[in-house]
Amino acid sequence: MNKVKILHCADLHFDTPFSELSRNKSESRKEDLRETFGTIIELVKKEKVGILFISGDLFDNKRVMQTTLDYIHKKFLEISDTKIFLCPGNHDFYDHKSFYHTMKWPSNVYIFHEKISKVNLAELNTCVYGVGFSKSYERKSLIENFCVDDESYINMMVLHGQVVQKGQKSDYNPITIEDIGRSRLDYLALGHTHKYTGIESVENTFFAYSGCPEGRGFDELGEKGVLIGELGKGYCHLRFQETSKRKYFVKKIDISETRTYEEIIRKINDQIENSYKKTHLYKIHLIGEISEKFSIRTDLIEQKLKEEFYFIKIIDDTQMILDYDALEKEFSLKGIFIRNMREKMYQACDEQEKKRLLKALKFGIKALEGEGIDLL
Amino acid sequence: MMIKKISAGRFGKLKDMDIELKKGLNVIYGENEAGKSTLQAFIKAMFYGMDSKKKKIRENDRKRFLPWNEENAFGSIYFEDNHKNIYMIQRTFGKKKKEDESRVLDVVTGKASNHIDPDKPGVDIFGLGEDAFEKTTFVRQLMCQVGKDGEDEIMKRLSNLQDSGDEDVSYHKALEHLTQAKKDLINGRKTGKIDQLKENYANFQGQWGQRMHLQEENSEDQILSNKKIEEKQLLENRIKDLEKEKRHRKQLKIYKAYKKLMVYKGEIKELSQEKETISKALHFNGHVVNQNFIDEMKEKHTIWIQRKNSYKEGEDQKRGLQTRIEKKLKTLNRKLQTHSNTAMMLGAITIIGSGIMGWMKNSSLYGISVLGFLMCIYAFMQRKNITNNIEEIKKEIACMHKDIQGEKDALNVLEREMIEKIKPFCGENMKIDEVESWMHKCSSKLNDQRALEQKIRSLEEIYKALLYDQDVENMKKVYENFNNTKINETIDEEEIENTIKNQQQILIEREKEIKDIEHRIKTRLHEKKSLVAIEEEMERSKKKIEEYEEIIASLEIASDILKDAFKEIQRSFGPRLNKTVGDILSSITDHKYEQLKISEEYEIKIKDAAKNQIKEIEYFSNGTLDQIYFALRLGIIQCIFDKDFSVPFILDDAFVQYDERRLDAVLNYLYQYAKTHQVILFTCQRREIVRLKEFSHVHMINLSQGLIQRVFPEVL
Repeated sequence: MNKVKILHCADLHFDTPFSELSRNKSESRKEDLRETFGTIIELVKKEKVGILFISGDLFDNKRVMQTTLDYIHKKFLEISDTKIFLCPGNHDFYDHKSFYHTMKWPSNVYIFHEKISKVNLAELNTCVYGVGFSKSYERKSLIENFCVDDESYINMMVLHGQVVQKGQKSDYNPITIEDIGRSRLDYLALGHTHKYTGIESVENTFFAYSGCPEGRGFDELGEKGVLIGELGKGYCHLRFQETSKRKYFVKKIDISETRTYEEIIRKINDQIENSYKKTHLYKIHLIGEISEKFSIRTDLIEQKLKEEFYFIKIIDDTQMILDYDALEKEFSLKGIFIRNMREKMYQACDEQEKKRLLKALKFGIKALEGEGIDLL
Repeated sequence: MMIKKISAGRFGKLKDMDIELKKGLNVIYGENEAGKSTLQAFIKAMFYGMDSKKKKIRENDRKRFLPWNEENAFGSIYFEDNHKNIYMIQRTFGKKKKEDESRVLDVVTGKASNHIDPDKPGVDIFGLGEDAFEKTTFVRQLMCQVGKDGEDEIMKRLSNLQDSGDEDVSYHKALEHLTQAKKDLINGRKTGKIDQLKENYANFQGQWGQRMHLQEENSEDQILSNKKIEEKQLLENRIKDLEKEKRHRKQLKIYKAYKKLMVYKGEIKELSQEKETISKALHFNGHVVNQNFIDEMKEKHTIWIQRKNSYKEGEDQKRGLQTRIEKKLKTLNRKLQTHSNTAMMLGAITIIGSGIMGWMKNSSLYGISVLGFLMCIYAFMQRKNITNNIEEIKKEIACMHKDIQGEKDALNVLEREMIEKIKPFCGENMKIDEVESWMHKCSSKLNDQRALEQKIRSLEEIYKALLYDQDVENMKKVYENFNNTKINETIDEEEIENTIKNQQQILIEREKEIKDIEHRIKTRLHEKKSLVAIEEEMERSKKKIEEYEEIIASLEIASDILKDAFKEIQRSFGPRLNKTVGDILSSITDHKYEQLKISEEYEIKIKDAAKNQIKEIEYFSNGTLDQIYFALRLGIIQCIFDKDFSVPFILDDAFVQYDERRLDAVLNYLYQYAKTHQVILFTCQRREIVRLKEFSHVHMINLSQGLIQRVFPEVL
């Protein structure tokens, strides 16, 4: 046998908190994660995958729900013909209290520890290496000076860590391209980075981050999935397969010149495909200039769109339509205030500071207009 | 502008009172209780209406000034605006505000004014709200101090001195909104949104800690449980081994028992074979010799022997008898021949002799023939007797013969019977003489057979006893599969049994412990919020706090920049206000104080020219304070109203705390001021009247004299 079919996934982060969502939604998303895991298992079955790599951070923390553990256990049993290799990551590092230690895992699951070890799969002519985190950080490369024992095998490794430039530091197992090249591995299944960035190679070693199979927040946008395909000596035929149940989208929508909530809602609705609304999660930044008299309450918009969207969050980044130039020339409290404010904004260099100042400008103008300030 | 006439129809203690007012300085004198305060209240009520919400009668104008006799209060006021238009405000006050009536009429046309709000005409007329009115041009007794008015109109007006295009902008209001927003988020009473969120966060943190503790406990229990499970497995293995040992021993027992059984079985088999041989030997041409047969035959044989013996005896007897009979017969025959013949002959001779003799001799002699005859008869008789005897013997012999013959026949029958019986077994050739030995043989064989059977039976009994209720097949299996490994003989079965029991006891305990631990693990977190959920809540609170903190940052920036902007504005109006007020103060203090600085909160710092030091206002005497506030008010009025827009300046006993020198100075200043503005001075101080008498064109009104408007007499 000179080829072996593998599936490489990572960073499932079971039972991750979804604090951005409501309590119910958060539960629903946790279930989505389980569902996505189920999808991966189905893929393993369907494609008759020989080896399943889980490159760390299977759990988000040490406080996983029993339901989740039971589910994972059951799912692993369903693919008893597949060898499963798991390396603990920084979120689910291996210690005596870890589920990796306290839970009984099915016999087809192999969990790597703090020291590099290997498993020979003679029937697949494959040798699988691996090493896991034993604490929440690993400041030294876990595969420093590592090299495979026997190059006649198809040699693979499952690993959680961060690929860094030589000399660059990281708390999360900083591995360099040199480390990877020296390993003589045929494939290195990496976890930690939540985004799939393609399959790379150095010397004779292919390596890739599969990314996470399901996004967990607006910092994990777009397609999420796993890597699946065949590996051999000098042969890496993996494809990215999307697995996520829901995707995260961030969108800027210009609502300039709108005067009513109705118009805003129409604009939002127009910009998002209907079939996506019920499935995916959206964060909408409202931009553009709107009348100073129209103070947008994002909670109201969210409320109005709640029925149509699975999840939508509205951020108000609009600016008031004001003739700032004319105003700031006025010698009045308002004029001086606007002038000073804009001066500060001009000087501000970081985005957060700018946002803060924009907000301050809005607050100030509202206050000077004798209006109370609505806090959501 | 100026108030031309006050006409109180019915208001408090005032009734049908008309007071004409003039340009310049008007002085309204009245002793205490003369109705000065009521009149002031009337003026204010005409311009701004009456508040009826306050509970205290002293503060509630409506309660204070409504007539007691259920009538409504009413009255009117005439005023002339800066364009010389004359208006009349006419108002009626009922018990409640909604019963009030109010209108503003153009006196010339008699039409209602459309640019003056009849409800609060003062707002349109003075350009000031009620509060600001009371804090600037309307100075009631002992209310000299200037403070921030509710709507912050004064500052609003001050701050827009330079550019009045944006009159709505209020610095203090704006700042207040910003401050309020911040207070809504965070405040000293911990009721702000952030405060609450922080409290929530702390709560969740507490929950988290507790929950985490439980989690830790569970984790430890899980480890403990795993250990116990391992122990349990060890125990189970040990018990399994022991049971194997036990089984082995049991098997060994069975093995041994079976082995023993097999010995017996072998023996039984051997004996059975022997028996079989015997049985076969007792098998003759398909017929089986059995004891009954032998017994029967024996019986027959015995009888046959007896018969044979008795036959032999009879034969012997017969032979003896025959010999004897033959002897006797011979004797008898001889006797017969001899005796009977002799007697016959003798008789015959006698007869013949008697017959011859009797013939010859004497017939008597014939008598002798009787003897002969007798003799012959006797002989005959004898003969007959013997013959009979012989006959008898012969008969007897015959009888004997017959008997013997019978016996012989019976014997023969018996013999034949026997032969016949035996014939199926031994064939035709068996001789009767051989029967006995055959029988004997058979009998002995039968005996052997019986003995064997007996032996087999007893062996079988032992076998059975050994087998007891065991299944021999099973035993056989055990025997066949028995792996004869060495057994530790030092430990006996009982010990093993005890150890097993002991170990099982421990096992049960372990299982119970494991169950307990598992139960603990299961129930510990029962109905407890999941850690993740708590963390989410914490995260939510934290994010919200951060969001709000960001808002606070923005609010603070807005406040700071607004303050800066205000300062900038203030830098423009401040010096003017400072100068105006300073000039007034200088005039009324005889140049003692002339430089001062007014903050946005109307706090004043004054430079003491003589001592050349700046003092906080708190350091001044009451009299000086009154002077300062007088100057401030007047200064503000001068600053906020255009020079060509004059408003009446109304003062009520503002100079009570003034000494004579100060009074002179202030009255002098006021007199000068009144040249361009209407001033209405209420007073109960005769000294003021006396002093003002010295000025010309002072319009004096005395309330004390029957509440009638009257020009003050030249000499009071």
